[in-house]
Amino acid sequence: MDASERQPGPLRIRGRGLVEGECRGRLLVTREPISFYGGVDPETGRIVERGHELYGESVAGAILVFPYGKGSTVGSYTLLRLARRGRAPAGIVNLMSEPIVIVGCILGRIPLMDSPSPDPIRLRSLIEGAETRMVVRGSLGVLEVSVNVRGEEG
Amino acid sequence: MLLTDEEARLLRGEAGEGVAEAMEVVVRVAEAIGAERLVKISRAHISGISFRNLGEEGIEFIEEMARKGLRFAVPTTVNPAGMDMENWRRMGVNAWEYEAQARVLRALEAMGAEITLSCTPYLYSPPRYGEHVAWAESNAVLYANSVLGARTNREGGPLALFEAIVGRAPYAGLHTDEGRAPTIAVDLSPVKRLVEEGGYYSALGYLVGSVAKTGVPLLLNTPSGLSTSCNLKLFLAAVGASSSVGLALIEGISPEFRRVEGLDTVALEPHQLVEVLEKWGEVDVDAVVLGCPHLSPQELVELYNRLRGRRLLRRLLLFTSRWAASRATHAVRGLKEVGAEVYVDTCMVVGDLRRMGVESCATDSAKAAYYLTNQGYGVWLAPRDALLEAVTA
Repeated sequence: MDASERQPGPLRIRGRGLVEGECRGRLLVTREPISFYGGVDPETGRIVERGHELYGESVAGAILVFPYGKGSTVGSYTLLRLARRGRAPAGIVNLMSEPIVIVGCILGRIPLMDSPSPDPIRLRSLIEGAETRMVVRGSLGVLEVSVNVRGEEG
Repeated sequence: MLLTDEEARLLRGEAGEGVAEAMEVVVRVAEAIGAERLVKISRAHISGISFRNLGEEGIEFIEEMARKGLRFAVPTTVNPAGMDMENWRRMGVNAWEYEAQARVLRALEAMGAEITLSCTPYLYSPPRYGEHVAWAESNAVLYANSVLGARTNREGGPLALFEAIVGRAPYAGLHTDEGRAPTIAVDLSPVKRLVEEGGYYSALGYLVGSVAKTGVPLLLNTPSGLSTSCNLKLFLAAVGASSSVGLALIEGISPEFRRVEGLDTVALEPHQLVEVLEKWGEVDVDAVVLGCPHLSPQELVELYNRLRGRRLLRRLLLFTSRWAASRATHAVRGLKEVGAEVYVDTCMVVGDLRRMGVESCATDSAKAAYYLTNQGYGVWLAPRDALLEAVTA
């Protein structure tokens, strides 16, 4: 670990850029996959899949972190619908993006990155709800999470 | 990723902003799934066109594409819609819903799609061996790959729309030789007799999918009746419903089947098949629903021959394509005379059975059973012969 990373300051998470853009929002993190078709209300952005750990939460305006999309491929249209209603996530971060989410983010112009390091799902308890800036340029995606981190945990 | 000069020009917007956006979708997905290049496709099949899942914003999006002058680069067919486009009133659909669906179809037609409204493009638009296509709709993908030896991934409805516009798909997965190599062997011999005697081909497909989950299963010691087109359709549709598999190499059926040494092998046991059957055991039903995948002309004729002169004790709802109905007009007329309700352009899964007065139903399709259960219906899964026996006198 180099000296700069020992300074208190935003936590930087880098990953692979998939859909370009820049946004700010609070981090909403889940370790469970999300089915946009049937699992998210296309009019409000609320997660309606019973038993999902984010059940009842709204994805609107959040930087949404989940491992990957699941379910019907028409979930891409749900992201488009949310975006056109102003209820889409501000940005999306996956461990591994699959076509449902990639296509939906391009249609909805939602910044998207995957393969984040360090893994935000593992850091969830530390960063959940934190104000975050997301920038995707070309093949690089960066999250700047406004939590103060020190070089060593604990 | 390597793009040809022509592909790079499309991406830069030289054929217009709409084509550039379509190209961006295809290229981004290609990069994400590790494709080194794109492959030209000869035809496409688009799913997810029901007004219900598109919503007003999705309908407007497709209309905007048509208005911008976007056209499909290859012959393109479409999956079932949310209603029979002629007999929608009989399905309890109201006028504004009909109009919403008609807007989608008008836009797709303006872009050059053939409005086939059926999940069985392998019957009416079959690709040749080795042909690269971009098909959405998992049962069609499984049939194209496993029975015809054509090449397509489970492209997904929206992705296939953009692939149809640019005439290309990511060269990865089931488009490549490596992606078509078997990843697991599934030995069907312990359940072979049970399946042959009971006709449990659809339940078997559901079980194969549940066990294989993903990859390319090599199926050994196939039950004899699987080779009939009706059983094969039901079987493959069920594999698609319970897994992400897009190609099954089936002994005696798949042109690319060959025995491979050194694969992990699982044998399916009778009790596993019984569990699938018990999951959807007999319940009292309002109706029998057949046609997931859509009934073929031959199946319509067989159904008519079976039901002629008999009396129905329950409603019988049949779902087929306009194409099949037009090739079996005599059978369709006869089936209606017997009292069966015949619908085209739609099916029990994308339609709305509740509006048609159905709360619980029996079907011969494990795929339909799976999706209808998720929609809250009571479902009984049994082979077609047994169901027809149970509901006729």
